[in-house]
Amino acid sequence: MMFPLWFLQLLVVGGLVLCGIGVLMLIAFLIVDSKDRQIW
Amino acid sequence: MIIAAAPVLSPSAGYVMLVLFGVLWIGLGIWWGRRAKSYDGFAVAGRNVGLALGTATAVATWITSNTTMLAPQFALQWGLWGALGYATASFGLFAFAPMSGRIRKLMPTGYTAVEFIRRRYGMAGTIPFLIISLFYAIIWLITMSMAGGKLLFVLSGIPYEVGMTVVVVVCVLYTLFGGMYAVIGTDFIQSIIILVGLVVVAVAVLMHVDIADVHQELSVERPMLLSVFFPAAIMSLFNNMLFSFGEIFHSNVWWSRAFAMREGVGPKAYALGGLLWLPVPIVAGFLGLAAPALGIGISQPDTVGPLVAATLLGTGGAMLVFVVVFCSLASSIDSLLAATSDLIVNDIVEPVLPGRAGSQAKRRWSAIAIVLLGVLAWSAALTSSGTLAEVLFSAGPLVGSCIWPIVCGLYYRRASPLAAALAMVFGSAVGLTVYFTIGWFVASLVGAAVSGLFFLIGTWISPDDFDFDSLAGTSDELPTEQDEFELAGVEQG
Amino acid sequence: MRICHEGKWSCNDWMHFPTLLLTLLLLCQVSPVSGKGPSVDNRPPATAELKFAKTAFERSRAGYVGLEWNTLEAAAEYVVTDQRGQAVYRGTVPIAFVSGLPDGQHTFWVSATDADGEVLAVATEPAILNVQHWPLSLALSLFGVGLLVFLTLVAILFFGARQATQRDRQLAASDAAAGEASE
Repeated sequence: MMFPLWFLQLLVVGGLVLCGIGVLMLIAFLIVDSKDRQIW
Repeated sequence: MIIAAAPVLSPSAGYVMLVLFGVLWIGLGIWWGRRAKSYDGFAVAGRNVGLALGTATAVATWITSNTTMLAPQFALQWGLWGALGYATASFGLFAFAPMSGRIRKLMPTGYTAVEFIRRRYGMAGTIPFLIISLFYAIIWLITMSMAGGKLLFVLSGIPYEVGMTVVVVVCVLYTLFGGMYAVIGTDFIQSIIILVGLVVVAVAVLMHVDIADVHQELSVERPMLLSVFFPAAIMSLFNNMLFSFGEIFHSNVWWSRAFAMREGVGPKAYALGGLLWLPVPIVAGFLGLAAPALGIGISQPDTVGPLVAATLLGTGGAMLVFVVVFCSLASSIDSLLAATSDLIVNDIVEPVLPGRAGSQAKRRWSAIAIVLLGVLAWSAALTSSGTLAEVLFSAGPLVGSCIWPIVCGLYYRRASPLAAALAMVFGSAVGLTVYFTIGWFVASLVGAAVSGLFFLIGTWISPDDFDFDSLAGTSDELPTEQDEFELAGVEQG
Repeated sequence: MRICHEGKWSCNDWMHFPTLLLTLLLLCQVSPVSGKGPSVDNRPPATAELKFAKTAFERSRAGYVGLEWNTLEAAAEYVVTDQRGQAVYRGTVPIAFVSGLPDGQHTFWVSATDADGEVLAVATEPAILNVQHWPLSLALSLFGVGLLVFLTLVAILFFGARQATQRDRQLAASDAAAGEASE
């Protein structure tokens, strides 16, 4: 039994979206932290 | 459709990029090093790291060159299950999230994992744990250094000795100057570069082929890769997961970050870090799976990622891969240098010397330890024949045997020194035996399972009644001009 | 994470010789293409031989294998085909990584073609690989054991963390109460 096409599509597209969100999240957090002077 | 292999980066381009990034990273190390004057600053970045950097460091440190180079290989060897299985290593980060909060709460002035084990379990627990920790850390450091040399050679033709030396020297220097600040700061930059780089290459792939084409090509040419019932992949899934749990739970790389993060940040940073790390092996694995559909002949599975990038994006793609690989190497090597030097200073040098050590003395010893570790890694990487990586895989049962002592030690009063010692010793022994007689694919599972059994037995035979408040004891550090806390009396043991 | 061990394809042994070869060959691609026009007769003597470095392999438990063969000067491309006539590799490097093979015996031939697409040589002896995947029952049993260990760990972690949070809350509440009482 093979993994269906939709599953592969879900993984790839989902993975890419998550990576993209990740980058945005990290940058957003940095901005928030720097506003509060709480980066480190 | 035939796509000829595009040129990979030329040596001169490789050198230029290496020098560029090397100088940049060392510069950052010096700049951030202004903060790292005290030992607390150097070792745990002042214990005030925020969510942005905390999350980024969790992501970047766990992305090693293996994640970017091996995930495509895994996908090509064990199919979709291979990529999914690799992604389950993120579960270790998720599991460590609550633990990081607990660690910081219990030991607000702590530095290392070994320190916890020493206070929690005494010498009985410390000796096996320290041996396992040092073994794992040093071998990982050496294999990462070797990977650096080999990858730079494959990507750009820079000779192994030169590439490896430059990578090690750059990492040693910026860690030396900037300590944990430099390690975590560069992690933020590195995590962004790696994530963006992966997305760019994957999007380039999708502009050439549909996911449907990839699926079709695989089902014809390499059917097992899409199989739901791929025996080798299924049988090793939890084995690999437990290996990664052991790696994260025991290693000072992760504990030092827990100590470095501001209170309350740890759990969120690790949970988010796990979430951001999760797609990386999947996207990287997809690059490997897409290669057949792209008409790219696969000769060596571990260079498929760079090959795909270079083929589709030309020199730009090759440079991108070069940078991504450099970042994933540096983010792991620097963490290992920093965390292992902490271990050496706090848990080997300091306990042995009479009296308490001041902040400046410990800062100096850390610097010496980093240099010595760098020299060790460099000389071993220079002379090693490549079988050293095999040695690292044997660490699976060793670190797997540390899972229960750590988790139960953090949360359950009854976990006793005897339990911890038995668990680590027997888990490691049986696990290693299985590793050499049966195979790697069950060694970590067996190590963890046997360890758990003996931990249970040990707790039953001699339960403890540990007072967790005693862990919040004292820092052994003399007050510095920045130190606002008054030291309570020092409790030995 | 570093978990590549199956048979001979461990991370590092992998990288040595084939890496050198691959890089050298890829670097050759970088050099400007000149003097390879059809005016010079580069046809090899008719006795040019194509041979696999290894034609017999250990039983494969995961369905993959690396095939290597000698280079031929005039070859522009190599093609590896299996017993179905399916091309499983097409490229300029004399190494092929074949994977995802199902149970059974697999036979591979390699042929070299020149720039015009004409076949220069075909391997004299095919490479034969016997693939016998691990029994699914074994795989599922190990999966089951692993799942058990994993769930136990999660449970211990979950209950421990919950207990700790409750204790902390109780302590905080009693501290607050004590604080009020003393006022």
